[in-house]
Amino acid sequence: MSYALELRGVTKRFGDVTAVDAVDLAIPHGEFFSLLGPSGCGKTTTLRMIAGFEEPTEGELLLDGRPGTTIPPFRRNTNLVFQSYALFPHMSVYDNVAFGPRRAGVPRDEERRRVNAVLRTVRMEAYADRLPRALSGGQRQRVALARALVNEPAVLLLDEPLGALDLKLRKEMQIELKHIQREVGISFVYVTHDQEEAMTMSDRIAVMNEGRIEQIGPPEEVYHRPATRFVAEFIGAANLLEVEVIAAPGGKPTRARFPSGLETAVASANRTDATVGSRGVLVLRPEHLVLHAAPPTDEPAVETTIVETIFQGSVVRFELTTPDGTHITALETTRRPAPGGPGDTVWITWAQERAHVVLD
Amino acid sequence: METVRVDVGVRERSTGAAPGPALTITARRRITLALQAAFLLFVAFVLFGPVVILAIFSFNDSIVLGFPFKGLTLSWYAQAWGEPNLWGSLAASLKVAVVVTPVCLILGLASAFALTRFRFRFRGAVGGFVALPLVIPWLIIGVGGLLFFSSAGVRLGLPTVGIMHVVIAFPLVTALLSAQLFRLDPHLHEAALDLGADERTTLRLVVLPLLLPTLAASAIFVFSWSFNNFIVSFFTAGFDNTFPIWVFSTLRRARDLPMVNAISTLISAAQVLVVVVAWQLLRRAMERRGQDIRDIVAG
Repeated sequence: MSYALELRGVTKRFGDVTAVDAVDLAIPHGEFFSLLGPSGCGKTTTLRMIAGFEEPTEGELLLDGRPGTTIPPFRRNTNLVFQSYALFPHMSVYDNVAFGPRRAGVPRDEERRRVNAVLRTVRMEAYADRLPRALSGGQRQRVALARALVNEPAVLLLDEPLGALDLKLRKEMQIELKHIQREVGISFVYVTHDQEEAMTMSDRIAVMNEGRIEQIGPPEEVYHRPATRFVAEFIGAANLLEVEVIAAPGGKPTRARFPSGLETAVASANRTDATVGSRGVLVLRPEHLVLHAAPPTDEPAVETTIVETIFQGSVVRFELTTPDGTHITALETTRRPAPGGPGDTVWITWAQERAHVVLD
Repeated sequence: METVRVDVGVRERSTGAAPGPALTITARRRITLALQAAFLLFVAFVLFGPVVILAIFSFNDSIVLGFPFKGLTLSWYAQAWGEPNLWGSLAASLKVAVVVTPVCLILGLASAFALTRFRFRFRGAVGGFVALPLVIPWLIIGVGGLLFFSSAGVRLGLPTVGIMHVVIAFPLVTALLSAQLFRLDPHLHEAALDLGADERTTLRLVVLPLLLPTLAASAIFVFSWSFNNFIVSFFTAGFDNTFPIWVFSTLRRARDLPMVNAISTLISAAQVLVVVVAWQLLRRAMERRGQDIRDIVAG
């Protein structure tokens, strides 16, 4: 199978600093793929290497199955949507969008058809004659997207394109971007540090940290079965409880024990080469926890004290602490009355089928 | 209760001041405004008073530059018209300015690009070196040019004047263009490359059009600097005359003074007219392209 984009062992060093460290990626045609990570994790450098603005120190890059490592940016069939939009201020919306087709020598009537079509896709056809300065941030964003899309690239690259928009507009544009991507069927590589944004739009997410990819997978998998502690903590809120594996038939952990001696079932783990005695953390999402006023008898429960309860409308957030001082956050819907207030002792249980262990 | 008490307090304070010659806020603003206007008039008088007086006396029917006014005449203008050296020196100055201006634009563009787009060793030092002619007195530069050309055995004349004008004027272009390049989003350049334009096409379609207003403004500055320069030209012109040199040498004969007055008035008027028209054209061109001319000089 040929991929729209493939990275094989791509490394980028700036002097002594390794910005991107042996990254392997394979992005099929039509996929919405996100590179997610904190600032300085190498995601933008990776994107710039795909666009051709940086040359990899090592490794190989394939576009549509053909080698692309050394193709200059103006001959690459990739297009980049810049965070600052980088619309040409002296050209109208139409001329901005027509810039690519004109460079490619597209005939006039074909150019007109394509530009108008893509402006319709981003709902900006009424603004074709405007200058960028006469547009709002959201409109500029759409034009920047149209200017890249009109070239029908093998991969469309987006560098935090919604970063400059306010929250409400950002949420709207997330949904719209996803729709547009489905409509045009072009692979998107989307760089962001916002895990919620990545989950909202992506088919798959690569979580990056310190130049390396920590995990690649669909949003559900990255969220429910994180491969590393970093992923568990970076994606969503997570409670990490130290555990020791006590049963691992065939390397797959099935039971774990807390330092308190309490034992629990394990539904999944990041590794399949575990042995009895392997150490790690049990990842419990706040919304998977259930609070009980009395100790339940039929499932393992951790005793905690309520430090604070915060009413948030649809949910109540409980800040809890265990006897050994571990901090735990739990979310409960407001359907039932709170099991207690600050200072009260409550017992937490969790959705057993979500009990995921990340081994060190 | 609380609000009522505050209300009373305010009223007391304002009525308490009423018996004296109270200055209302409006009155204070008027006084400030009047002072500002007076200051502005004073500055304008100091700056332009001499030029205006010069212009007035160019119509005075007397060889003496002083009151009382003897009567209106255009004879000085008529005499100027027939002055053969005037036309030669004007043509020389125009020739020099016409050659110097594009050379300065090209040099300024190249150095501004180097200083803003590339990182290299001693970049700061090179930048300072380029800007140096802007702070060294023109007298020193003129004498330096004279010593250099004479020791190198170069015959002085209009070409050496032109070379020296380039030396003093292109750093100004570098400064203006650097400021503009510095403020351009570097991603514009990358965006053009990304959309399939090679470096040359990017320069032609994106970078140069965005620099065009600054280039035009630079051209206006360089042209008038070159055309008006006296000191540097004086030292490096040899036996050639530029217009300012001719004016200076003519001034030494007192009886020609009113004629020089007439010529200077005309030339000044022409230059102001040219610059104003050029500036307006530029402003309109920029407005059409959605830019603001204030971007060039301010910010």
